[in-house]
Amino acid sequence: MSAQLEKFTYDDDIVRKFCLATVIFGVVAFLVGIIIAIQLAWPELNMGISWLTFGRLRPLHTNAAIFAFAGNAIFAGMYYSSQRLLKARMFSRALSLAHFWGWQLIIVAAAVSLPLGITSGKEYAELEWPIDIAIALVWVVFAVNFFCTIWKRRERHLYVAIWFYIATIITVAILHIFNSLAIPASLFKSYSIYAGVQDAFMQWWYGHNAVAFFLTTPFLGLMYYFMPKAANRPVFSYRLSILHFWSLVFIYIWAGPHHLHYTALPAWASTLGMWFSLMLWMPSWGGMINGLLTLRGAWHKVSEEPVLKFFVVAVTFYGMCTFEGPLLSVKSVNALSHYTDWTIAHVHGGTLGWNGFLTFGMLYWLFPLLFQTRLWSKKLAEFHFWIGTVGILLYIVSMWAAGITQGLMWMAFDQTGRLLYPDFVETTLRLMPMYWVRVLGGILFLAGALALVVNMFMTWKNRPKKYEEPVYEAPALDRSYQEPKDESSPLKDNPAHFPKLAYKVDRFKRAAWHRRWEGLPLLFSVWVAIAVIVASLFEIIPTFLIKSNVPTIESVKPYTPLELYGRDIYIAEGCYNCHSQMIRPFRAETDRYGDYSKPGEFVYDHPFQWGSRRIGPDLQRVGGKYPDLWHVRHMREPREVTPGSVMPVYPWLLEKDTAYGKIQKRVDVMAMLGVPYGEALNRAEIMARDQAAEIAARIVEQGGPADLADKEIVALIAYLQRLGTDLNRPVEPEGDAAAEPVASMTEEH
Amino acid sequence: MAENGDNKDRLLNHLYDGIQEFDNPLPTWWVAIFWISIILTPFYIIYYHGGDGRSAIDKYNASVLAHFDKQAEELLAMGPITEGTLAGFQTDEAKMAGAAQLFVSKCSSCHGMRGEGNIGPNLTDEYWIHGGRLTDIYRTITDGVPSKGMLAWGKQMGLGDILSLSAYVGTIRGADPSSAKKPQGEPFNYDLDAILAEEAAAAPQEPAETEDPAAGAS
Repeated sequence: MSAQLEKFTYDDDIVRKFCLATVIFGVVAFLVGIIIAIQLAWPELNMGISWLTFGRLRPLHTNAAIFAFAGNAIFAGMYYSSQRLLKARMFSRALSLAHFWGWQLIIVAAAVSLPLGITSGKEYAELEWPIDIAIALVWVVFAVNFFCTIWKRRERHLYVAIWFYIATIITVAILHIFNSLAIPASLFKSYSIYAGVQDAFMQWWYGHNAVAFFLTTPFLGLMYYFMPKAANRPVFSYRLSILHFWSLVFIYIWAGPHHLHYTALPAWASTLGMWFSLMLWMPSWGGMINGLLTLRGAWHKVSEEPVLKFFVVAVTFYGMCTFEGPLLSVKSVNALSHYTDWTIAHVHGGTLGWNGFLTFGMLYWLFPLLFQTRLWSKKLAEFHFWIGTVGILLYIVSMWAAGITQGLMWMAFDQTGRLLYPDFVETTLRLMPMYWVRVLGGILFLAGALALVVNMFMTWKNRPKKYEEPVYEAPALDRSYQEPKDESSPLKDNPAHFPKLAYKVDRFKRAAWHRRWEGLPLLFSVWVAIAVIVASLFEIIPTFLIKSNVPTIESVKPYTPLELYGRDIYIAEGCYNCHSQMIRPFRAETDRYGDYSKPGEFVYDHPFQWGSRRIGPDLQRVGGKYPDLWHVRHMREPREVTPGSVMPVYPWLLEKDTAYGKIQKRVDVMAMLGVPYGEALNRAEIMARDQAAEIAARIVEQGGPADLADKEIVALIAYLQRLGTDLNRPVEPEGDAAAEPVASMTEEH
Repeated sequence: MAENGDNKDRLLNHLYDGIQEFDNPLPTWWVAIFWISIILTPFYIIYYHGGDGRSAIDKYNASVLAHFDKQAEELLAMGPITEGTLAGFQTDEAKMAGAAQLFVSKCSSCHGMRGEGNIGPNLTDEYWIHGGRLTDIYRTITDGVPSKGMLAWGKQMGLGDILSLSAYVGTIRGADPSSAKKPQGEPFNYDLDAILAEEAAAAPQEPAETEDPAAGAS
């Protein structure tokens, strides 16, 4: 073994950059969160300005919190810890910078495009196709930089934090690429290649695993580095690390369908989602146990060290949320919780508590090292901890109360078997006090983050003129190294003779085999990829191939060109953020909204719009429910027709012109995706104008304003009046249907 | 995998940037719950996917039938729909309370919260476009006025609900709420006794003139 020492340094400048971006975008994400929280309690704050409405700002909030705040925090922590755990400087400074600036540009692009209504309409994956491509490219840059650093490493075995980083990088790439597949209709508009049930499945395969592999695995990796470092204690159990890592990576992938219980998703998929969610409980708690028990013998430090306080609360919230998750995935619990604020409470426990507090703890620990001076104020960090904790608790408790209250109100019947609260808005008004408590919680959390900004700035001000760059020494890896045979079996200490098999079982149980993998990053990464891909395919293949999952409904026809355009407005305005289009088979829902949703109704929905939260009522069968004029007045001023409504006003829909010139291209793209468009392939624009004229005339007849034919509102009304009406439409005779598949739809309402 | 004193907190010879690892065994309760979560759910699957009447849709259908049976019983007990039966509903407090809620949820968006009129006509004045008898109102609600945007609620609501609503609309006649819409249609002086006398005179022709509520409920 040649032991020639190599000299190397670490790149901490890139870590400083990512830390700064984390803090800046954290404040932005929390601030936007507070704005939209106030909008729900006080809709006047939407101010009648399109780019300030809830439907457009809510995706901005979620994207900023997940990809800008948490994303930059992950990168900061990964760049800092990986270099030290691998005893190697990052492979390429150029790639590091390309990663950093590329990611920030993507965030800026998101911050501009989302308020403008440029969105693909899929939750947590709203960014349009050019940005999606940029994300994929930057991710590849990051991956190359990271894996080449592993290749150059001077530490033989990979520490558990690195395992989690590997799982993150591989899986996020797979999720992002396959969920985002779409065909562009223009630079800012594309249609998902999946439709209806399949799109919903892919979206929640992605959505759930974004939580898993963007907000869980990388943060577990950070925890495994920063927590033992800050506490100066060994990790509780190496074996537990191994078992909970692999079970987490394998099991998480399956659990996505628990977001779609009682929907048109086939029941087998939903049941699988529930089962794997329950199995996920202990693998998740493995991380919590390893985190909290690592602090054994260091608890006295927690009382005086804000960094450890943040870590302890973060890991506790992680444990709470990963218990709540399996609980919510149980179908009968989900029947109550789905579409309510309970889900909102659950995710904020995770993001504010786990991701937020782990990040804050990490930053407070890093600042003195990165700025090479002591933290400006430990007291201020203590203040941040306490005010942040109170903020999270106010947030979560108020949303639990709101969610359970509204869920129970939706389901309540009186003695005669009729809905006790038939008027939806009644259930909304009941939540208002809770919504104000949430606002207060958010403000406290933001106040804490601002304390962090001050502390960071003041610490940075005290930095030395020039940062020291310590030089480290370690021998290069010996490429001919062979893992020594594991000879340490406890069976050997026993005088009795054991058969060979016993040694093998013992070796497996003690996870001694795993040590070899830790020295072979390529093998390790391949196994991670296999675990993720195999688990995915088990659900994806049947979802796409089994015809009986989505029984055809003959009366379901494609949207007319105008309705398609109206649907695009629905997506752009982010209506799906507050309205579901998925009626579950409960009498409480069918009495309120109409027939429960059938899988065959969504076959032309690229993308699906089932939604995940009912801040307003379900819209799947809103078609024909109200006269056209009602919609005009409702969009202009919702409170005029529904007193107490918290919906924003949409006056610009009555002013903005429908871009008839764009419609043909969109119809063509839909046809490319397999939507049987027939006649509309040649004369989409004419058909759209005809239908718009009809609707506009009807609005006038009902006593509404004239001259709306060319306005967006008419296209949106065309879509809304179509929603859910195909199911019970009589099927036309064969010949006519083939010749004129879409023209007849406007007649009936 | 019980924790025994010997291998508790044994340090492994791992060292990463100063971080060490213990070789502690997996906590027994952790392993136990993990196994339980793996083993238990297949039983759930076998039960809920293994027989008629246990799936979500089967349960839903059963709940709808149970509710339908309850409504059908009430309707059969009621007999033919006449001004008299509908007027009788108006004294049934439970029915009127339910109908008032239905009015708020289904009708108020066009006719106003108190029937004062909005997109749709004022229901509290003496003017009626499609007839002011309770049976007229019943027919208007059931068949709708599609050209004016009034839906045919017969397709969307149960018969019992429509009957209660028709009776309820009769009770807000003359309420004179604030901000009422100006009158539309023909003036109509509602005289229950006269209508009942008329119905009594026509009674011998029964059942040709009346509808069978049970048939309409399907």
